[in-house]
Amino acid sequence: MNRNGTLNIDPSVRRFLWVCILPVVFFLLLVSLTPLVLALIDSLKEMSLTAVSRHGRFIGLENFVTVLGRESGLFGAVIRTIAFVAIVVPVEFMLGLMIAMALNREFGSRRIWVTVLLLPTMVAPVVVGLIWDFLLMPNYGLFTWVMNNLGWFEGRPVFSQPLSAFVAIAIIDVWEWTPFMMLFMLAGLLGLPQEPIEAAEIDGASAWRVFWHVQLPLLRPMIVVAMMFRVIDASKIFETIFVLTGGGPGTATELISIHAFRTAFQNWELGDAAAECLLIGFFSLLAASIFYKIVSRQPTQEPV
Amino acid sequence: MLSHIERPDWRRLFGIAIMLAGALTLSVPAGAWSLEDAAKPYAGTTIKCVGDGYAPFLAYQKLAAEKFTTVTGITVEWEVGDVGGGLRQKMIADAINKTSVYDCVELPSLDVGLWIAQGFAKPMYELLADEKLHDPGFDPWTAYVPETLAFSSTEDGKIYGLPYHFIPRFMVVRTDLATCPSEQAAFKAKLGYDLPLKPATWEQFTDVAKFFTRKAGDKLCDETLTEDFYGTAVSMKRHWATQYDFELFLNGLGGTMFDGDGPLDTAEGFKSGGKVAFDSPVAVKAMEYWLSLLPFVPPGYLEYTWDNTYADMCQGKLYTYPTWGDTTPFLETAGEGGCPKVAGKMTYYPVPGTNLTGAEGQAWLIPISSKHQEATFLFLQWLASFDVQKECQKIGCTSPRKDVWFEHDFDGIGAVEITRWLIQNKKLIARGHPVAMPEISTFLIDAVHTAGLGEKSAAAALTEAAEKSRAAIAQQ
Repeated sequence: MNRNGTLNIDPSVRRFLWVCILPVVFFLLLVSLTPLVLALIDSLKEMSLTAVSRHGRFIGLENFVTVLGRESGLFGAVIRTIAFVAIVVPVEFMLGLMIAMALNREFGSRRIWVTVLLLPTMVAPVVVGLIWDFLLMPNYGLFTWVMNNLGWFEGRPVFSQPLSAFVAIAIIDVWEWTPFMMLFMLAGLLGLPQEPIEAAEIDGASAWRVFWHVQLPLLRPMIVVAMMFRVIDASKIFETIFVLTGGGPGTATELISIHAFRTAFQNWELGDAAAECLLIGFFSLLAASIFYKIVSRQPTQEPV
Repeated sequence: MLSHIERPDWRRLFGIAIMLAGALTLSVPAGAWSLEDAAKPYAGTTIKCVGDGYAPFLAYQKLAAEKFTTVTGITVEWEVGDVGGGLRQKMIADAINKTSVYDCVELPSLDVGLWIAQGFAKPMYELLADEKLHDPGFDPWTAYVPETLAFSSTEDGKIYGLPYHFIPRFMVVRTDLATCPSEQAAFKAKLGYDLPLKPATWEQFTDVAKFFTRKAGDKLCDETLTEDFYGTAVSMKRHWATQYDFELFLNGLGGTMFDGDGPLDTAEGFKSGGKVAFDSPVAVKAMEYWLSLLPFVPPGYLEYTWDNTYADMCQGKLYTYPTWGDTTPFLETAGEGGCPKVAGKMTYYPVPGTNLTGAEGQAWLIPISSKHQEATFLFLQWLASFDVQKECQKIGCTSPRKDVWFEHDFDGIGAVEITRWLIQNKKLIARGHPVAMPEISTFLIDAVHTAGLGEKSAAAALTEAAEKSRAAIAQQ
């Protein structure tokens, strides 16, 4: 070990390690860097399929100006996406953690419970959309029938009202992805060292204090990773919304991915869509970095 | 002895014989065109076609396997899916990148102008001009319903595709309810005139829609309803169905999408495009009329597409609604896959008001990147032939050929009768397909949807959509 804490590796071993990881690095660069570069090039050109006479022409930052303009609707989509992520991710985390805590003990049917609870996450997102489409269909949906009998949503089905449509999409996302959080938290809980927990219990700490002061801090790295995954995934939600509402009613459920899809594949404004996706990618990276810095900050150690 | 008899002029006779032989040679074709001969150079080829996974496409699949391949040796592979979903994007991706995945595509009419302008489509007229390939008995200009040919497959008087199907829109009504004596009496007592089986005016349409909207517990033809019943249904989801629904009311109330739209004697002179016209006073009136029907439709209209309106009719929840030519076989079927609750109870009638309706239909196009253009053309030409179309009509097709609709085999079928009436009385509209049509469609769908949501007035919504559309057309 060197004085600065790095490992002292033989140069020939170092070379061998590079040879081993080079194919992977090359592949990653190919599948991530190449599309990025092509998207950047497209974002600087007139790529609208309907603008025949100008197609392919270099237009500088015109696409970015269009996308950031009021007419494009991107800001609204971004705000709705932030709101969506801010609602679903904490809810999924809390529910996932609660279920993981309940499963974090030995009992006979635990494995069966874990398997059953994981089912929503294992279903393809488009199938999730179709299932809930049937359940919440205006005249024929089972859940619609139940809610109507309770006096809810009579005459104004769930996906016909902006607020209820947005909330319904959020609830469906929580139903689908809470098991994912549960799995992460359960894996984390099962991997925790038992000595600190036992020591706290011997010292007379209540279950709540053990959880809050011992388990949760130890779980922090796992929580950070799980939340990062979900924030990234939730901000990209597409299939469920596409199947259920198409972004409606109005623009109530038109999040970033749906907006980008419409720009690219309904309006065939490929240059605008490239600019939009680059902007979204850049700001997502920025947000993810800030988020990571905040949640992975080590708590200051108190003097002994 | 012969000296006194006139000798025949052998040179003259020889000359006449030569002329006769020449005339005979010219009148007999060098070799009459046949599919087998035309296909010989392409035997063993496999072509790939992509399209909507429902009745017409499935019928074409069946016929191609049974008849075309055995005659020509050309195999047809099929990719079946939802054209309005992911297939449309796959077709365009293949066209842009020239990956030659597809040899024939069932193209939504919204994209036709774009495909032609971008050069994605192999011009069909070039293949039709090839004597080795073109069956001289097939003349697209006269074979097809002119409006559907013009609207789905031509640009500036040239043919770029061949129509895939023909699905005009008209209305359907529950005959049993319209002829129910108690309902007739109640209608007359309330409104002062006889219940019309086929509402001829929009006022009558409103009257019947309002009259037949009932709550669970009310009576309908002397039976107590166990659930709500509605006069009609509309589609207002952010979906293509909404645009087509709007067009139906627009055309029926005297408006058009573009100022060049209308019935045609022939598709040859049709010029697609023209100026945007769906923000005219007539169009605003049409949209306001459409919105006035909302109290008489199922409450989920903002989530409704053509599938939902059809399902409601199939389940016996509606009195009358605008339908598509391709739903009628299912509405009339009591067996599996059909509508037992309403089968045999349907009457079809033209759109009230002007009776004008769009000559809707998709088209077959051959991508320019296809490596089997000639073989594909032979296939599409074979599909377009009278015999194939007639046979296909019996198993789910809705033929774009005029002559098939007038075949006596189909006499007495309600949907056929109404379609014949539309063709004979020139009540079909060819709509333009400007290059910017995909964007125009999105603007219009959003406009109608927000008006249905109550966020904008009809005038404001249509004006905004029209202005955006004009800007999109201008940037071409």
